[in-house]
Amino acid sequence: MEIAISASPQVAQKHLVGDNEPPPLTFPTSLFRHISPALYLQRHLLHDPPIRPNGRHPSQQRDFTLTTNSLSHAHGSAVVRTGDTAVVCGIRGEILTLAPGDDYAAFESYHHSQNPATYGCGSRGSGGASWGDLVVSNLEMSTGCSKKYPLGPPGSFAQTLSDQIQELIRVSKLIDLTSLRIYAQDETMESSRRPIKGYWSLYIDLLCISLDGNLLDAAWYAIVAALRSLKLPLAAWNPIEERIFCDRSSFHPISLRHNIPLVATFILVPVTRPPEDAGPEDPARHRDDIVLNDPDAFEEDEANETLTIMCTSINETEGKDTGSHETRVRVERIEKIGERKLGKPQLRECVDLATQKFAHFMKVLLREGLN
Amino acid sequence: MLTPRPTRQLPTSPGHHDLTSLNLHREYTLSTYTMAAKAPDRRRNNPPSHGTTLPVFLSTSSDVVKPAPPTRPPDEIRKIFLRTGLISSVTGSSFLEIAPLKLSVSVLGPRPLPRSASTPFAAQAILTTEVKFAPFASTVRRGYIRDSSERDLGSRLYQALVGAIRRDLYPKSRIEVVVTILDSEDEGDDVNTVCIDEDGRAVEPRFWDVGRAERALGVVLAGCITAASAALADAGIEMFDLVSGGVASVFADEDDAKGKGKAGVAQKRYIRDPAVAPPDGNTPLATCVLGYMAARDEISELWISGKLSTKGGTADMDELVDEAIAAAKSSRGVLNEAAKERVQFIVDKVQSQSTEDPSTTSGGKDVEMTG
Repeated sequence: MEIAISASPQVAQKHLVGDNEPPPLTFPTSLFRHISPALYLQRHLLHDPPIRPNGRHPSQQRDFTLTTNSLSHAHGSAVVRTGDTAVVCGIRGEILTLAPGDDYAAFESYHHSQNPATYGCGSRGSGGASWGDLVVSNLEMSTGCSKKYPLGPPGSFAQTLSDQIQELIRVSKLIDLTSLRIYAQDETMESSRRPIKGYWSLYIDLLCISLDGNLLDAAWYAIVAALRSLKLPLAAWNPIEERIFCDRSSFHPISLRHNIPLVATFILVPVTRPPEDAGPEDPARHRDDIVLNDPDAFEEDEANETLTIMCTSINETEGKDTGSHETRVRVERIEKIGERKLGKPQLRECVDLATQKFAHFMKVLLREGLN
Repeated sequence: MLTPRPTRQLPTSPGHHDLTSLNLHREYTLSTYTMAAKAPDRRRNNPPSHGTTLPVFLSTSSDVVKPAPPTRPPDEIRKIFLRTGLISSVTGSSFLEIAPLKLSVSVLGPRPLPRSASTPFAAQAILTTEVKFAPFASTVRRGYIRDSSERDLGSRLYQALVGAIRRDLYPKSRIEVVVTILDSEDEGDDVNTVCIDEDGRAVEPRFWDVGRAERALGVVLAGCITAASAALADAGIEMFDLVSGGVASVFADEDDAKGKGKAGVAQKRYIRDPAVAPPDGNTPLATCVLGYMAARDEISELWISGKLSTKGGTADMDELVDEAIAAAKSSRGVLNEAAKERVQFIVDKVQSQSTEDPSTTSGGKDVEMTG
């Protein structure tokens, strides 16, 4: 498909019709993707019905595949592929031994490290490096996943995303930290009375293998699926050797939050409607934002606004006699970066899309036998 | 911090004068090995300040697992899964799987060298190779900083590939090969197992055999070479020939020697693509890894480590190299198939596009790019 470059369609028409004149300079449509990406995206979205350059509708998400427990050295692992974005998540448990005099309550709180000095600075502390919590998550992008990100130590994007993921785990209280306890080996006492000797520390390592936009969603799904598949060996304090040993034959899962929260990311792309399309004498209508669900890398580059919604579904029993269940959605966190106004109906639409995504993911988890 | 306890030194295997063996046989003690050994990394989320130890298993002499009997003849390599072109955002990519080994290769470039005063003129393309293990790819968790064995693998991979690429066709540019190892077969659980005797006291861990690290790294390097040349071919980079990796080990068959009553003169046994655990009753002697260009009958990288007698000249070495070449020829078959598959895929794609009516192809159909 070739298109003529000229001031208006009429001029182009004239050029094409005329026999004597040389044919005008034409370019294939795909070239405009590189010459003028913003306009290319806008024209796609202004079409009726709007269609994205990748062939999806604005509210359509990419299909995704999930594979769990395919790594032999990780205690829990998952590979998530959404479109051309692929993330591998491996979780390994290591043992933290409590020294006498340690306050174990500090380990079981998600907020102990947030003293005034480090608050708001993430786990890296105020400008410098600091030690982390029991759950340590890191995202590695220096795997040749995309041309855009140089190899070497994590750049600002990888650091931001790593921090965001760590923050989401902390804020949502995804993992029940009390299930990471390691007790003294004592058969006579019931488990709740035994002294705590140590903890499992979970290293959540995410590797981005292939990157085509919306890394956060893929990473979060990989984390949730890997945590679901996580099996830690049974560990106990051995009083003779004075250290913690594990049992090779018995494994246990860890307990996660009852209602797993999931994230869904959208972007807002500004479009300027041609004056004839907009309402009469309403300049505000000339500018509009179109919400795109599950953006790819090309769309992410053109967006100046990102919206991340974290929500969870809660089953409520409605009327004891009927026993019917109603699924309700609770929005737990909204992160919006950018200056554009987002109306209530648009937000509502996003939450609905997030809910659909949620249901779809739960179905996939169920298929994997992890629900 | 951890209370000081008597440390148990793991024995390091004797007779290693090779760079690569440094890492896998580094001297560490089970109780002092911690993830928090170094200063915190300010670009990443860090482990808790207490430090964590990898889980240590208890095993009694009864449940020592014997290596599984070989399921394939010694002259047959394991099944290789190789697929190219899975990562769309880079020039070329491949994914390789040999039993537990899983690795992903992406090729970036050829792209121009950075324009700066310090960049020298390069008449030939500059090739860089990076090999990185995922933190969850081995029994002992690896950090994110490249360690010596990873750098060593990287330079060996460079040697194997650099002669095969027609670098003179790409002046003033660079080609980057990035290998991410997601899972590998390594020393196994011997490193984190403590044996106990009948009284419940711990005994010294078993002495692991010589050359285990060489076999483990050899299989990884051979896989890296095969997968990297598949990715280079996928990137459309001109090469003299595809390089395939091959690995073979030689063992002394002790059982055989005993049966004949000739102590000390053990029968030699060659195994292509050896598993890390040696076959029962065999003593490992040496391992050979090479990169081989089958069409030119040329070896681009050769690495032999271990004990080989020089009584009969270089006959022993020649035999071992021939075995490794045979292994490389076998993996070359897989490499050819992968390349063919990819070419067929591209041809099919182009044909299906050209047969379609141009007015119905997506992207071009509804978008006016005039004005």
